[in-house]
This record gives sequence, structure tokens and C-alpha cells, in this order.
Amino acid sequence: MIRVKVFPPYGCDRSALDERSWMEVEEGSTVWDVLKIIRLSPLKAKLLLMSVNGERASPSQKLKDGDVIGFIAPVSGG
Amino acid sequence: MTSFAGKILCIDLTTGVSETRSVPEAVYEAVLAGKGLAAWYLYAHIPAGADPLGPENILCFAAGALCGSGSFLTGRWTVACKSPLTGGWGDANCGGLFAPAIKQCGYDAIFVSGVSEKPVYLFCDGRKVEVRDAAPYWGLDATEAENALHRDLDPVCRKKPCVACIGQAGEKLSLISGICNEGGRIAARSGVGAVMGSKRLKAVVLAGTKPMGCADPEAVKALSRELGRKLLKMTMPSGLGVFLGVGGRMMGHLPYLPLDGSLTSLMFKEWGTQGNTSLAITSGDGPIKNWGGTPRDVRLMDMVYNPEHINRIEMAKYHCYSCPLGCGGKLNIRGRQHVTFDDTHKPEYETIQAFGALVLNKSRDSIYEINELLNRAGMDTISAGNTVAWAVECYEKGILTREQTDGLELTWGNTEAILTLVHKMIDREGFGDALADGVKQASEKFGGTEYAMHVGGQEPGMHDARNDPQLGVHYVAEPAPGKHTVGMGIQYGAMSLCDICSWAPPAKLHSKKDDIEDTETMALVSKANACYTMLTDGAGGCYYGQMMGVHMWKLVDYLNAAEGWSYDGDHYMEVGERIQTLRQLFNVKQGYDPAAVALPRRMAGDPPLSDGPLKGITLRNREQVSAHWKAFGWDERTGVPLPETVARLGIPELLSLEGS
Amino acid sequence: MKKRPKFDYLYCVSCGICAQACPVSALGMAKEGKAGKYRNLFPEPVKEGCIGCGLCAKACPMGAIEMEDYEDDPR
Repeated sequence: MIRVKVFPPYGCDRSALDERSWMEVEEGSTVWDVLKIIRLSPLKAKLLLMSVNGERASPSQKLKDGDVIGFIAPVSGG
Repeated sequence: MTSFAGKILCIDLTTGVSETRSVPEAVYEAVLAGKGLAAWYLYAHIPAGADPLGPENILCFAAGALCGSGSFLTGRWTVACKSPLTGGWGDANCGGLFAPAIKQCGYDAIFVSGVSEKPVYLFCDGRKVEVRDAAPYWGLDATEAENALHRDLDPVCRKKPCVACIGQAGEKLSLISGICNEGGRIAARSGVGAVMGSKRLKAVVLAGTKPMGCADPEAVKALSRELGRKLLKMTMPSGLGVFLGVGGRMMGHLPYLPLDGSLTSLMFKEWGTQGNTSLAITSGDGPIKNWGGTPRDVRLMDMVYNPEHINRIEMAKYHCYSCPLGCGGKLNIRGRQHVTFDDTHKPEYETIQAFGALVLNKSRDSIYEINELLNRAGMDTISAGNTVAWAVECYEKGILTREQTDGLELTWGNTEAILTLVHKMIDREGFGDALADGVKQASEKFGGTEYAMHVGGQEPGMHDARNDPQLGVHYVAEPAPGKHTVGMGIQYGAMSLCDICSWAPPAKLHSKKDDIEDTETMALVSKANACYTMLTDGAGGCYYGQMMGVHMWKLVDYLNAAEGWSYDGDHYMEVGERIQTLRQLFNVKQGYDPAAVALPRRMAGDPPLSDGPLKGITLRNREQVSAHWKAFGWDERTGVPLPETVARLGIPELLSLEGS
Repeated sequence: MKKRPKFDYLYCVSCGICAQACPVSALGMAKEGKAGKYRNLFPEPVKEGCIGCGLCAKACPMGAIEMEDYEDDPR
């Protein structure tokens, strides 16, 4: 099993995430597997500029232990 | 070898004597450089009761620990002193190119005490230190002065000098003036410009070429390469700015979400901080109409401040030292309405909001002009905007009369009048003279104190605590009050501090109502945020590096590689805690009363707004601040660090270490 | 044989570390260009006087600078 951190957008299923937003998945899991667990369609994921470790990723990308999966977020400037 | 220079330069402008002092390694281990080093030195050397505009105040220019090590987003410099605006700790942070210039002279920081009889500038090239006559430059605005110094000194210096200087505002001791660099970057807050002006110090000019060290350069560069590769690839489709207003409206109603901070870089690369404006106008983040308005008062203004307008006139982006993002830019503004300049640095969000929605000004062009005027004068746009907004509200309410305003019709959105008032503030002419020292002094003179938005004397940044109560905690509890750059709930949620710090609570999906509660968890969140920010400031890091989150901008790894240490996140968070406590001790020594600082009623939502995203919100700020102090191990009622906390952090030992 | 920096702008992030490392300020962030879709400023020689010390190449975290040999044109 490997651990990945996920920041699901609104409306997703967060039940597989622990307190710190990490979840366990099988070795060799892909981004698509995570999308299925959090119930986010690949189209929405693409529109939200889904990234793994800050880099654009395709759903078929294999995940490594410690990967961080995120989506565009409007956080502010100063 | 570490990335610390190991030395500081101390100059007394009264006597003209300068000396280099070594700093014990234990100091760097305890508080890094930057703000930490400044706190260590200034606590010991500024006597209690010092006049902030007198010879006993010491002005510090400090580079951060990681500056020059090969790390990215570590080119910030800190100016620190006793603040004439708040009477306590004062500091201002800036990017540009000045930080490595300090290190390349062989110093981590420069401390200037005393007062010069005549205008002078400081020159250092790493071999000699000279106090030189600044008569030819006194009276020039900051950009003119910088250009003139380059014209005179570039031909005779091997390395192109780097200049930090004040404009007319600092020369005229405006308490809301700052110190400028690179023709548009400014260390703006706390009235640091007035302190420099009171010393008759026009500029600090540095032209050193000393190498900047690092324990493990290859490891540091590898971290940077990894980050740089990712940021190079990060782009967004163009034109999305038009959706930000809508996005803001949605955000105003949705619960808080933990976010992946790495994607904040997209916004900074695409737009810079000005990308926040249209979002802020609709989401509740941005204050409207002197903090008393709602989005209803500024309908369609999010379209006026759609960031694509600014992108269209951007000639090129520019980067602060060691930054791969490049949130800065130069704009072509020639020929625009109200504009007398050809170009200006892209205004920051703070400037646009302070002179836009805060005063119901719909003229984007006027803001370019105001931006350039205030950058050149060296006056803080946040403080100036808040002060102008107060004046407008008071005029509208009849508290100020036309006689008092020199005939200016200070009505909401009256662009002409606002522009004229800005000129008067810069020149300290007529009515402008009273406003040039900020809103607290202006309202004490004219009245309307309930409309004067300041916290402990300093005007707040353009982020509403009613939208993000964590901001309210930091506005009040932070040793330099009114700063929006210490922490925010939404920023906390993007950083994943829980993954490097065992006691930092994880960010959770939660409704905004939960943020108002003074729970122990919220107190640990605000404590963790403040500690991490102090750590970042000791390292010389940029807020937008922080915001990327710990998985992108690996501060702990950078520090270990650059200094040859192998500490964990908890250790470094304690460094941040130590810096924060030392700054508060400075306040206590200087007679600043933390318990007397409070949010203005309006900012606390007392009474609450009746429409918009902030409808019905009243903060429990006093309670949250007490809980925050308790989490720091400070007295809950007085905000004074408790003796056991001071002992636990090893502060007495730290202060017993002297530079030699 | 003299040396001078050669830039591979594909890897450059415009951080300016190289320009600051140059002891004679021969490098400046002056070259206008595009990094993907963004108009950015890149390092280039801004005056005569490069001493071939290689500090820029050494400092660049991205490995975007190499020192190359060159000979002056005989005049």
C-alpha cells in the first residue's frame, strides 16, 4: 500500500481520507483510481486543472508514495 | 560552512563610526537571520522609551538565512525598528534585489543608529563603508534618487550598486512611509520610511561581490531544480480572469476547503497579486466602502478590475531575486486618463483594492497613476488608502467640511478629488499634512474615530477578518499589528503544515461559522501559522513560497541543506516561536500594551452587515486572541510572554550572547 | 582561451540568481523573451567586461548556463 495526499474539490467523497487528507491506495494505483474513490469525474478533474505534486497529470499516471493530488484553488494575494 | 555571513554592520550616524561585528553561531541556530536576527539585536540595543524618530532608534536591513544559497523564493529583505506608527515593534518586508546585495557585502544585516546632521547616504562595497553627502539626492522621489545614484555610481563601481532609498514621504517623516528598491518595490509598513528620514539617511547603496555560502550547494540546487521544473510547466489558459468575479460570489457561500497550495503559483504567474481583486470584491475578502460596504455597493466593479485588463498592458514580467514565479510586471500606461507617467510597476492587489472598492473608485487608470505616485513618494498604499477612505466617509457624513478639506469634494468614487488628496498627502500640503501620518492621527485631530480603521495604530491590509477570522487574530495579536501577511485561514489550509509539524492541526473542510469559535484547535492553527511565517521571515522567504505548501516549497529541507543541519519541522517551528516571542518581549520592553490593541468595531462585525457574504457575522476576536496568546504560552489577558515560556525557548541565553 | 556563459533559455526560470552572482555586473535580466506563454526577462550580457569567472554558471540552480570557450575576432 502507498499513501497519497488528496485535496478533493467541493462535492467529492472524502470518507477515505484521514485527518490530514492522506489516503492509502494499492501500489501501482493510478490517478484514475483515486478519482473513483473520491467520486470525481475525469472531465471535472481536467477542468479543475488537476495536478500531481504541482504538475499537470493525466488520469492514467501511476502514483508513488507521498504524491500530492490537487486542483485549482483561488487563494489570495497581498 | 553555512549560508550565514556571520557578521553584521553597525553604523552610528551621529558619530559616523561604523564597525563590523561577528555574530555567534548559536544566535543563527536560535533565530536564523532576517527578522530573527533583527529581533535579537534590536531587543538588546534599543533602550526602553526610545523616540522612534530619534537617535536611539535603530534601523535594521536584514537578509534572510537562505539568501544566496541557491534556494528559490528566498530573496526577501526585512526592515525592522521601533515603529513610530504603533510605538512597538515595527517591520516591513520587501522583495526586489536588495537582499543578496546585503549578503554580498559580507553581512547578514546592517544596523543604523543615531541621526546625521545633514542628509547622507550609506555606501558599502564589501571593502569600505562610507557615509557620503546626499545633498544632490535629497528632495528627489525614490525612483529619481535611485536613477541618479546609478547615473553617478555605476561608472565607478565594478558591480552595479543596489539601492534602497526613501522618497519625499520618508524625508517629510510621514508615519506611513516606507523604503523603496528597484523603482517600485517597497518595504512599506510600520512607518520605516519615517525612521530612515529622521536619521537623514536618504539611501543605502551596496555594491559588494563577496560570495554567498552554503553547506551543501548541490543539495540546495537539486531542491530548486525540482521546484523550477514544475513551475516552468505551470500555465493556465488565458482569459480566465473574467470568471473570477463569479468564482468569488460562489466562494462567499461555500464552506472552507483544504487546498493544494501548489496551484496558487498559477495565479501569481498569470496575473500577479492583482489577480485577486475581482475575486475579493465579490467573495467578502476585500473590504468595500471603508470596510462598511457590501458587494451591492460595488456592482459590476469586479468587471472593472478583471485582471485581464492589466495583463493586456503588461510589457514584461519581472522577478524578485531567486524567484521563479515572477509576480511582478511593468505596465505601459502612457496616454491613459489621469496618467502623467509612461509606465508603472503592476500595482499589487492591496493598492488596487485600497484605492478601488475601498473608496468606490471605478477608474482603473487613476489607480495606475496613484500607484506610481505613491511608489515614487515612498508611501504605503495600504495605509494611504485606508486614510483616504476615512476622509471620504467623514466628508460624506459631514464630519469634515469643505473648508477643512481645502475645498475638495471627497465623495465616494470621486476620482479627481482622491487623486488630488494623494498629491497633498505626498507633499504634506494643507489637509494632506494631517493625513500623511495615517488614519489614527488624522481621526484624533478631526474626529470620526469610529470610521478610522486601524489596529494599534496601523491600518489593516485589504483582507476582511469577517471573511477569515484568523486574520482578525493576527491583526490584533501580531507584535506589529494590522499586518495581513502573518496568516489567514485560507492560506493555512493551503500549506499542509500538519505534514511537517506534529502539533499543527490539519486543515479540514468546515463551515465558516466554525472559524469564529475560540477553540484550542483554532488557537493552534493561528499559532502554527504565525510560527511558520516567522520561520519564513528568518529564512528570507516569500509569502508565495509559503503559500505553495510544504510539499512544493520545501523550507525544512532547504534549511537543513544550506546550513548543514538535520532538524525536523518541529524544531524549526520552535525557531519561529522563539522569534515571535522575542518580538513581543520587545513590545513589552518598549511599553506597548498588547491588551490595548483591538479591532475597530466595524471590522469585528459589531454590528454585523445585513447583506452580502459577510451578512450576520460578528467575530469573537477578543476570545480568539486570548486563546492564541495562551497557545503561545503568553498571559491570556495581557499578552505578555510568561516567564516559563521565555525560559523554555532559551531566550535569556540567547540575549546573553553578544556580537563582538 | 577565454570563457563566457552560454544560456539554455529552455531551462531558465528568470530567477536572476546568475545576474546577481556576476562580480562585474556583466549580466543583466534584460533579454525580452517568452517563457511558454509569459513575456519574461532573461539574462544576457549587458556590457563588455565579462571576466569568464563562471560564477553565473555555478550559481544557476537550473543548470541553464554553461561556460563555453571562445576566441576574440582578430582585428
